[in-house]
Amino acid sequence: MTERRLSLLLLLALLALTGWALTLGTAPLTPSMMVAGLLPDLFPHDDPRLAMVMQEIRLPRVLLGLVVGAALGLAGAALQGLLRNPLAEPSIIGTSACASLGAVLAFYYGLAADFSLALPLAGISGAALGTLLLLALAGPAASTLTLILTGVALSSMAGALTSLALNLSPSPYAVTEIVMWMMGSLKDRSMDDVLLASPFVLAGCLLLLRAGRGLDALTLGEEAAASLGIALPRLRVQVIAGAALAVGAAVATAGSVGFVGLIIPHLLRPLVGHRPSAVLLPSALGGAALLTAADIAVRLIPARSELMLGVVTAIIGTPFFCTLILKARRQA
Amino acid sequence: MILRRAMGMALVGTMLSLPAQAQEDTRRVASTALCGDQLLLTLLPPARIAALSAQAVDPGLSDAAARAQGLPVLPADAEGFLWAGADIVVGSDRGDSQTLSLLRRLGVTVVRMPPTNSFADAMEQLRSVSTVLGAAEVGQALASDNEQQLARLLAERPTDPPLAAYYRPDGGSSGQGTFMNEALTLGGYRNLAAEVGQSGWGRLDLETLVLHPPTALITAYFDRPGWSLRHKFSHHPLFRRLAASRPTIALPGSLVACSGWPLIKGIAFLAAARPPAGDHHD
Repeated sequence: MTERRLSLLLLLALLALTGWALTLGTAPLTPSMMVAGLLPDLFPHDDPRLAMVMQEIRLPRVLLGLVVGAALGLAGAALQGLLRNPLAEPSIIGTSACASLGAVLAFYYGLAADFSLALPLAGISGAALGTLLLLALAGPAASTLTLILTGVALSSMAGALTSLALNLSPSPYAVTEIVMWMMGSLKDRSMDDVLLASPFVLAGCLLLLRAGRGLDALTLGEEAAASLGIALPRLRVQVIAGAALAVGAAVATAGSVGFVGLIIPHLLRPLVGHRPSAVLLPSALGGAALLTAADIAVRLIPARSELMLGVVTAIIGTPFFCTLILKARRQA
Repeated sequence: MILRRAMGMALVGTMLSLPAQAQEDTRRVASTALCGDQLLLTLLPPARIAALSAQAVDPGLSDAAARAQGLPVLPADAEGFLWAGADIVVGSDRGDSQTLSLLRRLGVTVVRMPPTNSFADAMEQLRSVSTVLGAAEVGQALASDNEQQLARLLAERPTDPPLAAYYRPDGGSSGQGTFMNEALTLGGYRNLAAEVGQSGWGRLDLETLVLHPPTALITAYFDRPGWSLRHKFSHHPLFRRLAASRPTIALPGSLVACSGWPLIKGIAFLAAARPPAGDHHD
């Protein structure tokens, strides 16, 4: 299948999922009420709550799911290409953990309660600091191994500080809130969150999509890539900065949602061939589709309180991943 | 007995003043957490309650669980509250941050109640929140009544209070600066955790308990089901031996799960169960 054809199919699936997601919520709305809520100018309705539910609760949630999912899927694909390691995923460079830590600190100091954008802003600051630290520690000429090791060290440090915040937390409610937040959710996010995350994710995604040629050359090995005129230090900084921008903003607004960045490239790679550049755009679309599907599942599965998104992506993702492993084993 | 009757009278008093409020204010109120639930159930007529949290109907945690029966219980979800017609949503100061922020954006009045750590603060919060909810008179009456009850309890407080160790099943206790310390002190006890210099909700370890044998042990939530790992401390043989050899007061968790109302009930319970002071040696 060509990249273009796959992208088109994914786009169609994404549209269907988006439409479905918009129909889900606690308010019992009929399809005509939903349309009236989304397009109040065309279909006037006398209940002002309809527009609020559709435009300010359901729409931001769906949009944020698309943005976050695309960021995770694309960052995963680009990092697997850059690090030439199938196990690479967005959290490997430590950005996710640093963004989490930033947000956790906002909870810890109670800033999240006073000012609603404190949480994503603190997350983005955490991600930015973490990435600068990563680049400073590993240096632009760093080898793949150094990058991974530095990322792991950063992740561990941020994880430890997050645990410390939980350990010293002043109130059990704060602990619950932090733990739940870390499992990832798109619940009750506002358009402000979407508008805050989107520019960072967009900038990051553009950087990553433009790295395709370099990543393709890199499959031949570092020396061969250099001889093809690829400036490796620049490529590394470009991919890491892109992934950090996209994933940092995603984690800052939705919490840590695992597995999307790891499995989506693996799922799509057999369909478009093993050229890293061919997997990039489909991974963004596939990530958005998977996250939207997971957010639909979160709301359809009956539970005492809504399941957390990270839990569901892992539960959906693992069987897929296991099937892939079995298939690879049979082919080997 | 006198005390129980006084509390009963106070409740009747608050019930009687409810209908007058209902005519003035029809705004509907929802709560996302236990402490808000109990406050709503105490201050407002059922018609004004738009939604409660799931904990509201748990008799092990909520002192007002009986009154919550039949009222709508909703998960903390902006869409659900909006659809239930909530004009005001009461939440804790921590938890459900996104939901509460979104509701505030949508024009709903959001009240966040931080935990209070002294009786005076709890009464001040009761008065201020009841004013926001449009139930100022009921809130004022309840607070004054609580204060009078406390004054009566303090008058009966012994000159030589018994030393008590407070425990949750996980070995957690409550030192200085916590509302449990306040409840113990006002209930006529010396709080071991505070006396050994602890502050906050830390653990009171077994060694400290052995070195400073208290007159009584006060336990809360030991009867909660399904807390297996947390129950570990309460099953320690040494703890069980120490508990068996002295008065052990099982304080109902529903009386102290929240720092505000109904803390006075917890204080009264502790005062009524108070053993005489006396050095205890094992």
